[in-house]
Amino acid sequence: MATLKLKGISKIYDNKTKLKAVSDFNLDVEDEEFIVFVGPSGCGKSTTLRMIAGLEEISEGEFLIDGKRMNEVPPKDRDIAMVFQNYALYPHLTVFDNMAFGLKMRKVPKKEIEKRVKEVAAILDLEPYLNRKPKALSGGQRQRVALGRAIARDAKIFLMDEPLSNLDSKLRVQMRTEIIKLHNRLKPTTIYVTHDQTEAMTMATRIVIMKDGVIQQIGTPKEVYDAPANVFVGGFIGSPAMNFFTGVYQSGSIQIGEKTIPLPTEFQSILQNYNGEEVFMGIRSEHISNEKNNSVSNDDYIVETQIEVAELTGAEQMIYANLEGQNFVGKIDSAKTVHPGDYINLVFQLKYAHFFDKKTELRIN
Amino acid sequence: MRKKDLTYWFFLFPALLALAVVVVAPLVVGVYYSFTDWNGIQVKEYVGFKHYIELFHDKEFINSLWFTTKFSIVSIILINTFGLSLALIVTTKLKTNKILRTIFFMPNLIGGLILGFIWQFIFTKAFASFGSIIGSEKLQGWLSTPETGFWGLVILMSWQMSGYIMVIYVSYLEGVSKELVEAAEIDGANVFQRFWYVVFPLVAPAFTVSLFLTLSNTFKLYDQNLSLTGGGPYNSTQMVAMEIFNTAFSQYNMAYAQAKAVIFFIIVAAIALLQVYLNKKREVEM
Repeated sequence: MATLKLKGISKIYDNKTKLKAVSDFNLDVEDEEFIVFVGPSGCGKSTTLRMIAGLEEISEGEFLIDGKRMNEVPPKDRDIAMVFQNYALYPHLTVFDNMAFGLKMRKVPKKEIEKRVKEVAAILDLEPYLNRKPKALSGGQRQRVALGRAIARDAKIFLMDEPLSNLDSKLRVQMRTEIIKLHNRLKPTTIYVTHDQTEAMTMATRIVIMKDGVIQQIGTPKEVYDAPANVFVGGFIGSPAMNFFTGVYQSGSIQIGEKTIPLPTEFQSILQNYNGEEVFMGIRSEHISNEKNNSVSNDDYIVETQIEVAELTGAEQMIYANLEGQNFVGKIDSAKTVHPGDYINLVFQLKYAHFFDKKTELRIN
Repeated sequence: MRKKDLTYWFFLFPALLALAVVVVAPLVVGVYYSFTDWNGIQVKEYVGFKHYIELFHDKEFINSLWFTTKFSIVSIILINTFGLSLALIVTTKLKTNKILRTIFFMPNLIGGLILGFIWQFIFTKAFASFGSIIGSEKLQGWLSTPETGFWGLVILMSWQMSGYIMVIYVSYLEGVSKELVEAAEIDGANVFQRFWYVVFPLVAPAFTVSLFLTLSNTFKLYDQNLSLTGGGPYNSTQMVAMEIFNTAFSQYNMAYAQAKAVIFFIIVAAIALLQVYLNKKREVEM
């Protein structure tokens, strides 16, 4: 329905300090994409969304919808619908009127409004509540009304600003699926802002990871998970966070404290310029596990460590331990009974390791 | 349950006592006097409804009541319109917001009597001078006719109270979530529609407060009336409060003045209660 193009977008709030809340943001959004902006609070993701909506002026750069410059176009003429964090439902209007508001403002004929609102209400199971005021609805229902208001408008572009952050975790998961289903059905170009990396991973066709107003990486969930562009992305995407070890690369192995760990051969060419230099080695906790029968390969490194804390999460157990004084988290299956203080052999599947430059924190490819 | 609590009554006592001594007791005694021939010192006999029957034929009282009503209606409309407009101005992103709020509120810091004299000077001297410069007859002789006296009072009152009412509207306007206005903006509402369909219904509770305040303030106005027009010309701008005062302290007709005061009280109370009731009914509960 619509493509978006953000060219070198920046946001400067204070002209004296020239501090950029968003800096040189470049992104091309394809039709029907579901883009998620993710990052810690204050990273500029909401500001970017608000610039796309037209609620915030664009200080620098150019923003295009379907190839047309939008910088000076007011929000109502951008053909966007937005879902706000606190729902932003009109408290004095009924559910029906809330959903019909945008259509009324656009002078859609009454019959057409009624038809559209009823259709949307049916999609979202809101039919029994059409005559209620928002305060008589539960959080999940309010969220659905907010979505319904956006859908009824039939806009080209959907913007969502942390729409699920006010819901409890169970409802959040449920609404997440509902939003994905809706997107699959209606296929509007969507930009979704969240600070929750799980939401980003599960919903997005592409993720934009931001920090301090700067894009860290753009990619599909799999890309950013499997090949994080820098230490920040590696630590932000995935739960628990990626483990990082500082070590010195030395011809085919990495020296971490007293231990010399031989690396799989494929890393030799990647790390050839780093001989004798300190690097970060990142490895996710699912790649640090206990010995299983016949599962250990030549590339793996086995180390005996003392368990500091063991957390049972259900099917798995998180093992908190340290390697040469550097803390890490591993995952073992829950069948094995362990206690804090126990010694255990943990297998580091080094072929899944990531290496980052110590100074720039960028991924070494 | 709490009402049985000794501490509850202990802390409530001073306020109740003050209320009883300065409000309730005088009211009760006043109602009693209105049925007697009280002369300010002693009561000789009980006269029943004599004063009440008399005051409904009292042209001066009826006129003052009518004048006060007209004045209140016009003032309430103007004060609330200006108050809300000022509030809308000072809740925008203007840099001078804080200063403007102070400036708009300042007329309230000047006492009513002094305000009246200041405006008397403006109406009679400044208006006249300005009028002769631009050659306008309409600006001459203000306060010397019933019409200019009426509008003089209205202007003075609006000027004084708009800033005060503005403060009330400001607090309600700032309570309207910015997200709602933004949602309406994205929904395609223009500035006027955003105000009319979203902001206006949400500041409705402010009308209850503001209308009541302006109503009670305009209806019982005395000092501005005294200093600006003194009720003149020919008592044509005399409001009820002043009429009652004159009955009591110029004509020394104490008991009769009491009867007028009771009627005055009933009218104000009735209007105020009705208006609060009506406004409460349409308020949006958040």
